[in-house]
Amino acid sequence: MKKRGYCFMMAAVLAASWLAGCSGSSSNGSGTDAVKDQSSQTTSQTSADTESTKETGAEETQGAGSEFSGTLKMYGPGLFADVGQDGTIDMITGVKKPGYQMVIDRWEELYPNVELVIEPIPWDNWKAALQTAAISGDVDILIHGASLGPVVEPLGPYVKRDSDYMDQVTMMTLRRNAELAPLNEVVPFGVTITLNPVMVVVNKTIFEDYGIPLPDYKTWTLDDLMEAAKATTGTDPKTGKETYGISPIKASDAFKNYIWSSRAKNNEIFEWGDSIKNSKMNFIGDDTAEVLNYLTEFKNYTSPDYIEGLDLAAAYTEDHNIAMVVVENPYNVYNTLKANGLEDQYMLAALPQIEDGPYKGITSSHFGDWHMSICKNSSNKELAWEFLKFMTTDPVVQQWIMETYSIPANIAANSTLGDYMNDDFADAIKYVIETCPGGFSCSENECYDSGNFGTFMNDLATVLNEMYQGNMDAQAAMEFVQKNVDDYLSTLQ
Amino acid sequence: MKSRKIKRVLLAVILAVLLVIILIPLLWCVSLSFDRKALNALPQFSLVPHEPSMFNYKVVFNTIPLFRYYANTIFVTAVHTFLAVFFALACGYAFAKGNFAGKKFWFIFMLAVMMIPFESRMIPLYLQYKQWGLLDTYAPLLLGACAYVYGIFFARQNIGAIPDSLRESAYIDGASEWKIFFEIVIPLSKPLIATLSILQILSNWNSYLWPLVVIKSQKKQVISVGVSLFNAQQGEIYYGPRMAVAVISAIPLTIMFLLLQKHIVQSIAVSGMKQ
Amino acid sequence: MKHQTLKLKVKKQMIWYSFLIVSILTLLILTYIPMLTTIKYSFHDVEVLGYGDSRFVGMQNYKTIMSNASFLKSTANTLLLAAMSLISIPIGFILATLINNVHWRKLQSFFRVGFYFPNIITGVSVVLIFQVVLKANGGLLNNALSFLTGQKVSIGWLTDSHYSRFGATILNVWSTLGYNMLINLASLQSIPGEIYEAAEVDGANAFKRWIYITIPQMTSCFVFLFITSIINGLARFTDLFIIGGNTPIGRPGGTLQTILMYIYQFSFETPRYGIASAGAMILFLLTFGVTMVNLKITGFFKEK
Repeated sequence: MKKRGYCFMMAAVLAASWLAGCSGSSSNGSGTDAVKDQSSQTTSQTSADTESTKETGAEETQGAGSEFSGTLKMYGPGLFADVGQDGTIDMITGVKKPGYQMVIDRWEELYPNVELVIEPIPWDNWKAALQTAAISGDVDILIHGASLGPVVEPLGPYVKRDSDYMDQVTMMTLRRNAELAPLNEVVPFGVTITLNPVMVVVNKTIFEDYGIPLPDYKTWTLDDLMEAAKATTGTDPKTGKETYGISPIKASDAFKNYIWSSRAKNNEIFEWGDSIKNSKMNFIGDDTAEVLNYLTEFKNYTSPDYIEGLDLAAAYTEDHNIAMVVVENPYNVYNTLKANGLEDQYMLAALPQIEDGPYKGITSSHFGDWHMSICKNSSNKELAWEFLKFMTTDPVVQQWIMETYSIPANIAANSTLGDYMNDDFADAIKYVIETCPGGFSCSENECYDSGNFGTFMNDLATVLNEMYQGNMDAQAAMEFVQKNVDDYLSTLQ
Repeated sequence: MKSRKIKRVLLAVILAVLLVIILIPLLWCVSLSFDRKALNALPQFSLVPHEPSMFNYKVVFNTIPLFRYYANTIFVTAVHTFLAVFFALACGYAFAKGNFAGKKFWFIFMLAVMMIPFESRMIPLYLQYKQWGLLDTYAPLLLGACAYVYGIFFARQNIGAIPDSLRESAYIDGASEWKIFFEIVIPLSKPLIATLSILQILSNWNSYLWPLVVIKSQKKQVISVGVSLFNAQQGEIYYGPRMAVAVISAIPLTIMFLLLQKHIVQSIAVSGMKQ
Repeated sequence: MKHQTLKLKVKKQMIWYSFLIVSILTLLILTYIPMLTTIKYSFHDVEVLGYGDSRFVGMQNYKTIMSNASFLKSTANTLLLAAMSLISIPIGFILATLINNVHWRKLQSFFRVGFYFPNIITGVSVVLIFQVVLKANGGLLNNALSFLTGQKVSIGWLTDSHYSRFGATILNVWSTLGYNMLINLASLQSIPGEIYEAAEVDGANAFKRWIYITIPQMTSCFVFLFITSIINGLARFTDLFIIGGNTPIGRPGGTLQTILMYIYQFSFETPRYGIASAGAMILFLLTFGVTMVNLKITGFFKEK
């Protein structure tokens, strides 16, 4: 009962902020800095008129929905599959995550004439499945489909029309497209539903045992991180147990470590032309070598099981022997810690600050995302766009996302993180959200690009693993990657 | 005489030890599935569960509609196997005993595609089924069964070994080829049928990519995709429940194999590998 | 009169075709027609079928792929891995010989079933278990090796690119051994007993009989297994795909990327359907070649 009441209040708060966003801004939000400014504005207004706008908010959304009718089909991996229609039980914590039936119920309340068909799939072979679904022409929304470039609808015009939309969301899913914008810019191809900030889970106990100060995540550098990893590797002076300094993102996704560390070094590698074919990637260089060697140096401070992805078996329990873990799902980790009653022994830190370039001084933590895109040959594009907005702005949905231990890409919802976790954790996540520059995409930026250069992403993972195993040096690694990229670019006709 | 007996026992012991070594991974798998301790951390190797419990199985049954997936898979596998084996036998019979124009051509026509990688023709095939409006039905999973090339090859060898005299006497009695096929060839091909069936069931039971792509409704889905969905719903690799799923989905295959194993060996023995 | 026999002959032919027609149509519609699409697009520049424009580019895709280092490497990997997994045949033969010599019938059939068993378990769970069996630090295999050699062994069987092909072969042998044993055993048991009796009279010991009689008698069986192994090896995909964490890059170090994984990569991961189609055609030609050699060896072309 108590919980339901709380839910309701949350919903009201969010509805209010949604409205505030509506009326508050007339500026075109497709830009970058507007996001940050708007964040504080919406929160301050929220507290002011919570009560009064509650009902109007509900009415207005109801009114907006009934003019639409038809069936909206979506297909893809991610959160919907993870929680199932009726929810799942997390086996460690025993805590239930609500299923996506809640989303359907809420949608049907607002859009009574539109039937929602959700077809979730597992992550295994998801790209093959998405591609075939797109080809079938029987799907309106491709869940996590932005990387299938030719198949998804660019969202620029939609965003432009709904000028207040950008003020409400934390980020969009951005890609490069030579036909829509110069290649050094990115344009929206999807709507980000949940944020996966890449951050460091710090085991405070191990730091204290070794007598090392905890990181100050707003100012620490790559070298500080390495120092800390070095200092916490060895035999714990208090417990006598073997400890390891760090567990970077798992080896099979090693390219994700490259993303943050190359960004921290501001290792810009692209020269943009009028098309991808005429663009260049200069991967061979001292800065790249430095980044690769930096990541390889972690080898000395990781558990020998890291490369097989088995070093986190005892993570977040009493036996946890790793001082720092780089994670993509801090909220989920927090809940595991909480279930084990260990949240006081840990803290969350942003990744080291960027050393140079336009973003100098802010954290190199970025967001992964779970997003939705509109299929190019959907006959329901307007309705699909309504759903995308609904997923990112409807207060009940944001509430649902939070309850699945995910962080919604909604500014108003982000400001309530503190209600869900310790302030230390919430503050760290908020710090990353607030400092992350608008228009920044972890998939496609000046230091890294996952979609346009063939097997670049996979090749990075390959060479980083090879370097970790001592089978390759930085020079050979750079040449390998450069050759594959050049090969790929030469195949573009 | 005594040394011969010792040798026999020794051989049996050596084979038994080898067998245990080979089966250790499987035994461990079964043990883990009953182990409450096998969650995201893998417990120390042991053939006996550290904390015996049915917990993992309960989790599995509570998380996904396993029985539903099971029933779907059994239905698809049974129909697929029946079609595949029947048409393999029919073609095998024609190729082994028939005498008709273009025999060699058609045989190569069939063998040539034995190994066209499925992944590379998947999208065109998918588009065809889309055109026929058969997506999200079991048709795409079943129709391909009507041409089981390896089975045709295998059946041709086996049926070729059936003496012609049997056929001729029936022929003199005025039986048609189809009658001979049903009344003589099929009854004599039980080992062959058993072998082809088990091979079919094996390859069907685990097929993943195609069902994932063509079946969209959850309630029609087959077990391999179901298992993958189950794994997706766990944030980490939880070993115990995963092993429980593996054990559950292997049970029908195991039973089938134990029932049919005698025939399998026979059929392989008569297959015409010794041409 | 002549007309009548012709009619009878045609009718006879029609009957035989009635046995084949369903399979022929199925192959035509579900395999050959999609394959034509694949052939067609192997001459086109296209990313995702049905989206964007596709342009005829002649042999460009073939040229590209044949000069692409990753494709050549994946071809070499495929052949190397296929060759390495041939080891399963002699092991299967030795095992079959041992089982064949088991005196007690019941026990023999027990071993037969037992050793075949791994063959029926496939998929993710096997890889999951083997990732632990073959783990570098404290895996079962390395523990056993450490015990046998008396020094600490920590080989990354599935993570170090120097050893990954061995690791993948161990996994493969484990799951194909049973099949090879079964075929060998069946073939062994069909060797006529008289040959051995004659040799025994001549005073040949068991080992000599095995070398000089059994092995020559087994040639056709070995050829059969060799060919099927190679064909399976050319199409190897699933286990290596799972070992690489559900990616087609052939982790570690690209050493486990097969041709089929390369095709998959360009079909779905970084869609370039034209290139993937060209790869598929090359793989098809390779397998077709092996199949033809197979038919030649089994004497198919010599039949009347």
